[in-house]
Amino acid sequence: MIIIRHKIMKKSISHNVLITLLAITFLSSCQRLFDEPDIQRNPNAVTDVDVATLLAGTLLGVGMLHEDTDVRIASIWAGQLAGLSRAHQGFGQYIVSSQSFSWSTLYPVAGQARLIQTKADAVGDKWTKGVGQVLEALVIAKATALYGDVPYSQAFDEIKYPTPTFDKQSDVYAALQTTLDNAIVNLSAPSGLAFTTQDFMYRGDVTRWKTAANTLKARLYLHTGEYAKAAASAGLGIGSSAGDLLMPHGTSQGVDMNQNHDFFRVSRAGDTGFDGAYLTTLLQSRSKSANTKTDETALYNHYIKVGITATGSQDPNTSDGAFTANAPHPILTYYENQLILAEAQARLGVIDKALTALNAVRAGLSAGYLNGKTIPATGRKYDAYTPDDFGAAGLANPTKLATVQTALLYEIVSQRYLVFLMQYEAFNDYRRLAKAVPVVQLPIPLYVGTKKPQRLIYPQGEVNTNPNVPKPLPDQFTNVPIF
Amino acid sequence: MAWQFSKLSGRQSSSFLSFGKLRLTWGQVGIQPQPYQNFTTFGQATFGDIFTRGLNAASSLYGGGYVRSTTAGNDFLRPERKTESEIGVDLRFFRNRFSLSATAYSNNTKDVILSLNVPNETGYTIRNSNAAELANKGLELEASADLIPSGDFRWNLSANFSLNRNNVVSLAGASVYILPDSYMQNSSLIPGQPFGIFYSTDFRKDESGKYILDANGFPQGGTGNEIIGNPNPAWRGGLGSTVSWKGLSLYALFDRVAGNDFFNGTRGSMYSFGVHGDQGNTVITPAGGLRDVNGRTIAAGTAFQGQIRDFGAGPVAINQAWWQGRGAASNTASYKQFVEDGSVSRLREITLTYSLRSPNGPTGRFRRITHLSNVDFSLTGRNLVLWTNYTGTDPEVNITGAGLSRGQDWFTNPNTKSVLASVRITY
Repeated sequence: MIIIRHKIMKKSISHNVLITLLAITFLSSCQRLFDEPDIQRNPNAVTDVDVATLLAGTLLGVGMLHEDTDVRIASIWAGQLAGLSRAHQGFGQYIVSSQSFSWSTLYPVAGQARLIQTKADAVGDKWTKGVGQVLEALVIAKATALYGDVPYSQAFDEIKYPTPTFDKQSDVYAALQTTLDNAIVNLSAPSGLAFTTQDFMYRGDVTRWKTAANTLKARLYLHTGEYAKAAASAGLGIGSSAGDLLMPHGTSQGVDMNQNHDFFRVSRAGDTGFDGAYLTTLLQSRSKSANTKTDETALYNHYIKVGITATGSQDPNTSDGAFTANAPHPILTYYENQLILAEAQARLGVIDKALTALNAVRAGLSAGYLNGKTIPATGRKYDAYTPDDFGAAGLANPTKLATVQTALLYEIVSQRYLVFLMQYEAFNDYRRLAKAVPVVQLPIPLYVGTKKPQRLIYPQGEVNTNPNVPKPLPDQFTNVPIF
Repeated sequence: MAWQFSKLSGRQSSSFLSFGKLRLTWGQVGIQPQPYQNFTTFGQATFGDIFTRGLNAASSLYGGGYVRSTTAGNDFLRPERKTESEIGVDLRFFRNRFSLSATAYSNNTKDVILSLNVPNETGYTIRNSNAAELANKGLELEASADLIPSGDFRWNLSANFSLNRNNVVSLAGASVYILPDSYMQNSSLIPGQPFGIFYSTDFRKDESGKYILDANGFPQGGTGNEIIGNPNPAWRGGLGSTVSWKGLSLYALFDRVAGNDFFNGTRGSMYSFGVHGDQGNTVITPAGGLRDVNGRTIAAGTAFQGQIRDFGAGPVAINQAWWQGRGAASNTASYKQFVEDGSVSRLREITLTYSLRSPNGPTGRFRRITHLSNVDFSLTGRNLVLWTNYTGTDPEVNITGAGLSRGQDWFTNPNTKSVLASVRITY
């Protein structure tokens, strides 16, 4: 338009004036073009959200991270699940490489949890900041437990640290304790915002978040072998099954379906199962056995259903048990809290407190509760133990361990193994118990070879982009420093 | 810019060189960034996993959550700039009976806008950046000759040859960029390497590059990535010939692509299901017996289904245990074992035509009787013959189609063979 107008005027105005006018027109119009506010806004996308909406989105990511392929591999490597076909047959033979793994969900979700804290700070909301800190710690705890030395101190600041360093695992554990201490301080503030809809795990109940933070602290102290601190934190941790941190699920695939159900039943039916897994051996050894106070038949039926994918195959119970489409998935639970307490006290030599905590879990199981679902009543028996049961001839000392302490520990680690199905904490135990003193381990056989899997391998995406990834790349049989 | 030097005074009457032209081209183009790449956006939360369908905040259970996009906005994107120069010569000799044309080109693209991966612990996975500099150069030759130009019997021969060398010059600090449409052989950009080079796993090696064998004599799964192949051909060429005798003519076109690597994931996947032809043989265990990958001993004289192979520590049994583990492409043990030479020659097209027409033009008998100018009968075959050592169907396919990554086969349909008969009537 402008050009045409100038052309018409050309006859009556001298060339110099014309050029000047043209220059002014173009320069000023261009400038105005970029001053136009529309180019500094994206009309097609959301460029900011409030903290409550971000909290809901982040919780979804945290839930996903407890039901993903890393967790499934960890479960296979702990001997709970067997890899039977395609990629999972390879995982079952401990065949993995840097390209089997990715942090593309893990770290960005922790980054969202950090952003929650920034946004909560901006409005002076301590409670939501505390929740953000618990979520951050949950995710980084998973990263360091499975991968060893990982970025944390320089994470989530891409301008200042485009290639974060990898912190030593012991430093990450110490930093996580600090993060959780800060979370507990914030969650103890007299006021803050609570979101009953967006906080779909605890419905804005800030005291539950505080107990969950303590349970997580206890878990991390157990990993680092600080048993007195573990017991102290567990004492402040989740105090009943009503306080379990669970990921809720529905029946819509690709939307809210339990990811184990999705994997076991829909997307990869038959690729994994329980045939050849140590879990079945352990369950069967505790059903109708010399241990007359215990019967795991109901738990077996809750976890396993025979013949879903093939005749006679021991499949995950996706029909009416632990892995239905709408089964909640555990993140932090009362049972775990009590079993941390039980193990820590047993290692400290405080047998009575250890036994009380273990019996609390058995009482819960006896009533049929497990991770938001109910175990069938038939074949369900968890009578309270007494110290005598762990004597040399005690009914709960199947391997005839010499001391009550070690026999009780054997029972506690067995109970942990059975409760932690499809939680990576089972793989943490698998590695940790080889080192924790006194050493008491389950006789979990290797699927192949002679080397025990010890970690996941740093993702290829990291190797490609961050020169700080440890070199040479530790393989899956290399211990992480802490276990 | 072109210079037709055969028109120079004094050269015009040359019977040897009937046409000569020299071409020079230089150009530069810019490619604008896509709009709104400067923003970091937020979106409804969805989380996926490679083996399940994932979770989505669309459920009423999840409180309508949003999260920050993991693609970081970049305020400093510049247009990418491609500079190309080309020099060429077109020559015709002996009254245009022979022609030759040659072109050499070189181009360089700077500030290529890529969705470059960033360390995920920054909170992001991708940042749109002016990340790469790519260089490309090549040579194209074309020649044609009317060997027997006139008369009842004629023969024309034409040939073309091209080679192209490309190179990733730099990658803004990243060491590797895996192309987004790549399969597990990981077509990648790596500074100093050709475009789309394969960067994936092979069995574990020692410092001298030899496989580290396990106690049973088998190589072990690799845990890191290395360069395992190059999908770019060393050269391409074509040869066409038309022979005609009166109304009958035969046209044939051969082409060849040489020196390119190809990832045969189909073979690797079929191994794990036990349905590949390689697995059908029964062999008798020789004296001394053999071990399989699980350490099971197969006694001498026993028959088993599979193969005998030697990885360097004596013969071992390749059987189901191997193929359901390290010998398959369903896991990461070694994808290199499925990279093959994709060199291929093919009979791209062959056509036999018979043209029925009056030799005397409009006054001929055929024209008088039928009132038609001519009737052509032809029979064409396409992709009838393939000469290749590639063990899959056809190394011209690509599972992700015409994308950035090339040379990847994963149950991809091959090119069709076709035979076409046609009749053309001209009034």
